[in-house]
Amino acid sequence: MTRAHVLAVAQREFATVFRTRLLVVLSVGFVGLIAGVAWLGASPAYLALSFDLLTPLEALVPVLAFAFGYRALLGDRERGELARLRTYPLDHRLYVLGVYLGRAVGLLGVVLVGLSTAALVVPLTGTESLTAVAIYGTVDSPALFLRFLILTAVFALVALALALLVSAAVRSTWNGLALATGAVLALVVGLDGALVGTVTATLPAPDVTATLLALSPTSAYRSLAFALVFAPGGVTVSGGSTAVIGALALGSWFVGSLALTGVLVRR
Amino acid sequence: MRAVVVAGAVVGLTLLVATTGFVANPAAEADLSPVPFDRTLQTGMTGVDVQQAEAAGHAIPRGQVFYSQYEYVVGFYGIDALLAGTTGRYTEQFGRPLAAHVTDFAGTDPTLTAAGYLNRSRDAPMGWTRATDAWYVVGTAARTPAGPTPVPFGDRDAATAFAREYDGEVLDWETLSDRRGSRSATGPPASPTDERLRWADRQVRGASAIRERPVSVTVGEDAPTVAAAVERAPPNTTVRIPPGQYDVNLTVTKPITLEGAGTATVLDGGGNGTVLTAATARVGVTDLRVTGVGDRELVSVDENEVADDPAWDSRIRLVYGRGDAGIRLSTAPGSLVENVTVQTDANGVVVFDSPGAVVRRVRIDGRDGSTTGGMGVLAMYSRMVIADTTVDGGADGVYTHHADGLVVRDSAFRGMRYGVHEMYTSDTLLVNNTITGADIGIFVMTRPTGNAIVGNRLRDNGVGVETAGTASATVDNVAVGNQVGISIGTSRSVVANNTVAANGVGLRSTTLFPTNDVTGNDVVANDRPVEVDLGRLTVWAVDGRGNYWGSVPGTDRDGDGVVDRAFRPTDALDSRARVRRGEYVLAHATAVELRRAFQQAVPGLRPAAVVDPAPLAAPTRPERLDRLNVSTRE
Amino acid sequence: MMSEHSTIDPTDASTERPERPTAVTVEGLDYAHGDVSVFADLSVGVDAGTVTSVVGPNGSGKSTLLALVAGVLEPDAGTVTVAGDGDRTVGYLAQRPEFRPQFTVRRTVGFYCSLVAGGQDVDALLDRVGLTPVADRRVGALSGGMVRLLGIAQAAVGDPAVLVLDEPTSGLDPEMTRRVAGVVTDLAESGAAVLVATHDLHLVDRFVDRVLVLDRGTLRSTGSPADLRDATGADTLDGAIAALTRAGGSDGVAVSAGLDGGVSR
Repeated sequence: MTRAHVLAVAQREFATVFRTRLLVVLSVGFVGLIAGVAWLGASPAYLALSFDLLTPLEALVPVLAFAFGYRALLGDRERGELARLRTYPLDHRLYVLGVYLGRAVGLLGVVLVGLSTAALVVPLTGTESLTAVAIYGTVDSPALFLRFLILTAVFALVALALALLVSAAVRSTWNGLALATGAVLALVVGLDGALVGTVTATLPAPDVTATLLALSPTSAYRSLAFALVFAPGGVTVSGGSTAVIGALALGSWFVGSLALTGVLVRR
Repeated sequence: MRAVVVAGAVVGLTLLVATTGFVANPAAEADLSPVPFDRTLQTGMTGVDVQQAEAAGHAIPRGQVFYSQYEYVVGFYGIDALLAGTTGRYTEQFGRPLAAHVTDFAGTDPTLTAAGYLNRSRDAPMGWTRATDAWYVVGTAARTPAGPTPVPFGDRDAATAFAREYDGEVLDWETLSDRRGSRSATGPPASPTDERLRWADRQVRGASAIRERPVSVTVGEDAPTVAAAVERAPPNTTVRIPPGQYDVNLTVTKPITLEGAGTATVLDGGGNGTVLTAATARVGVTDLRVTGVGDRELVSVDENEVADDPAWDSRIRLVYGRGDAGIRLSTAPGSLVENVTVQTDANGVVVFDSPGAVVRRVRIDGRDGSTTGGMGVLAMYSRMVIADTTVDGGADGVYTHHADGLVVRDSAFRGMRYGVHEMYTSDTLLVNNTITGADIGIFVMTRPTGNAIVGNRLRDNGVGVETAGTASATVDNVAVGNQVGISIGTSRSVVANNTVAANGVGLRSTTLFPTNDVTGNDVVANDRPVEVDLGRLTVWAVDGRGNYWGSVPGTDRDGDGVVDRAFRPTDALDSRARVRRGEYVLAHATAVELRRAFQQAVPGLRPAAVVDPAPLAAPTRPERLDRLNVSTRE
Repeated sequence: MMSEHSTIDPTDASTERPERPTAVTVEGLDYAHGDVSVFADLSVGVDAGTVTSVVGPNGSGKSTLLALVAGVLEPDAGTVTVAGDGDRTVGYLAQRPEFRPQFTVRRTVGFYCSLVAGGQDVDALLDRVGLTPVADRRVGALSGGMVRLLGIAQAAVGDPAVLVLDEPTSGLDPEMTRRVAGVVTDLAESGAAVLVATHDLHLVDRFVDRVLVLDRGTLRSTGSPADLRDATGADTLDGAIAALTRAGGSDGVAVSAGLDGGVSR
């Protein structure tokens, strides 16, 4: 029964996403932007492509995730759906899980399509090589881009969890919009800006920056990309790997957001 | 089945497949086993050093490096070059070396010649061994034409044996790197312009004594012909040739000076071969005119003759070195040709095996309206000075072959194939010359090193300057109105403070090793500021100072003379943004900034492009731009 | 159905009632909106197989009571006991129900059906509320009455023992009102306890078995429409309710005490 409930809810959310014109338009826009960045850069290498996409994704993934998520539970509350569902034998935590899964499948689909379209640039635009000279694979390989793709998917999942949290916390559309916008800004620049401020204001700087990165999901994502994509690609990342901290940070944001959402949706 | 389940399965499977990216180790995937050396992108020792050693059958220790971010395998002639290639600019540009291999002399029975050149058994093929695991014998007499060299061995015992035999010491890679660290130049050297100018001045001063010799014979008074006068004149005296036309086909074999009375004294070769040949040291030819030169600028050779000559460059020597000329200095070191006019369809002055020769205030009229014909001054195996000389027409104004250290100054070359054409020639100085209407103003070929091209003016040529090789300097030149201003084919070299204006393409980069310091150049009013052939992304700035591109997007907020926004001269938006308001505003868009955030990362994996991370707010040489009347607003 | 229902003699209602089991028992209910108390120690029961209507002026607490019975709100104190052993014991129709406009009627009801055990027949349910002709229409394209019927269908999903319908007919035209009323009485016929909040006293008079008169959170009176008319001596139910709610605190208690003991205190 539990599984059937979650699936039913997830299916409805998934279908809702693709019946909401705004989300479809945004999704197409996301894919277009990501592909555009890739094709404009015309990078002949996956490593270079990942570098090109990192910053745009830091901004666009939260925007897309919040577009997918911020109305989800808020809309249910406004339509009386949350109240109505209390008369059904459906655990509210399972409901949140279902909503999350349904939207996540949609969101990940869009992110994957976007990144796959971007990745096509590498095999399709391959620059001409000197034929008389031996060519080898360098460290650049699709594997690096696959890693980047996984990390981006994880980042999208965390951003969606945060979006659902906002969606569960607010009571009206305008509040929701304001809080969602605020949350996106915080994700994209605010938290990192605060980190930068903190780090530069403390002199002599204590070497806790790597740990502080955990405070910002965006920085955690970036640090994972550096540790797991760029460093293995031969890019020198000073100070060693922050992969563990980054992974823990994203994990905590994810679990924390969803757990809190489960509590708030009941209120 | 529910759509969400299907979609979820697709997404989940895709991500699951993608997780294999974490399983695979990208570095281990690439095949890093050594490739044949002729399949590598070669750099390191100069072309002539390599050619000489190989022609003589001597071995040169070589290396090859696989970089993490460069698809080509780079081959290095010489261990010093290999060491340089594993640090500094190379790694900045191409990423960390994934693997480096060196030639393995173990089992090849290496021996040293008396001069220290390395010979090895031809029976055993030379293998490769990991550079970091190899053993290097240093401190022996072993050398290449470029200088002393360590000898690498894959096997420690073989290294020890070699070290014992030749009184050397065995080092591992790390010790070798540390020890050589300070010596292996990873950046370009300081320009030796002044030193070379002083050397040139000394040669000119030394040769000027040739003009002071007392007159012993006057043609027409003391002897009927020039040949008879030369025959009669004692060494270290002057043969005076009064105005008049003289039929001459003469070889001078004693140190005398032939002095005319200016252009009224004409030596006429009758259209047959070389007019005047000096075949001994310190011969002077001054103040006269030479005509009637033969028409064979090149000599066709017998293949047997080429094969019989053991020199690596026998063909060049035989084909170029024996053409007809107005004046030929052949094994005539320290000779002087001054204030002479040569009318020729072949070569003007050929200088062969004559170090210290001076060609000064010479005017050469080559074949008109054509880029064929001979060379104005052809310098082979001669470190010489060419000064205040003018060449019109013909193939090349100055052609050099293996004339290391040559200086060409204060001269003019007009309407020809190449103004100055350097082949297998290193450590030259080309200074304050004016070259117009040539296919290529200054053309350096064959991977030399240490050439300096300083303060020349290049106007209305196909290409102003085209460089090659390493550790060279192209500075303070003015290239205006050429199809391509300066074409950079060098690596580890300086291209600085040039004024490049109103050309079709300002700067062109053709090097596969974009490790040059390109800084302080004023690049304005060209149809396209920069073109990149081959190569990868290149960063043009040194120590936070780039080049002046006119008014570029961005501002210099802190007043340090550097615009706080990277400029990409190869980028259509950036390059138009200098002149068009719409593009200027658009260039500051967040979307553009987002895209540019990491665009300088992993340059070795980028398509060919140039980034100037620190464009200058004001020109380096404003007075030149003023004089040229070039609007910096374009 | 309507005609059949109207033949019931209201005076028989009190004699029949003991045979019907109580489906909802509210005991000692306290509830406050923030600092404002809505109910203090309220107790009431609703019988199975009947249509029970909560009436009273605006702000009397009708919707709140319904939400508490439906379990949508949690009481501050007291208990709401709902009989029934099904998977879903209470069906609830909110005052102005809204559904995701992107989906069809069938998909909308289908979703709710998938949340209860036993695989509810979606088409039978739609047929029961008369939505079969518009089953494939998008919810966004439905009229207000249709949406209300959809809401009732949703409330009936899982055959709950108790149906709580908040203003199921407000704003509907007479034809649609009759249709909704018919569906409601039909649901009661099939054994459910239907608790309806409404302002439409004409409708109450015709279709409702029992009335709970609520005023400012206090139960003034309970009984069949006829009981109420008799007790107040009013000609119309309208008048009876007006009299009951005008009467104020102590009178109200007296009147209700004089009637049948729907009030358990």
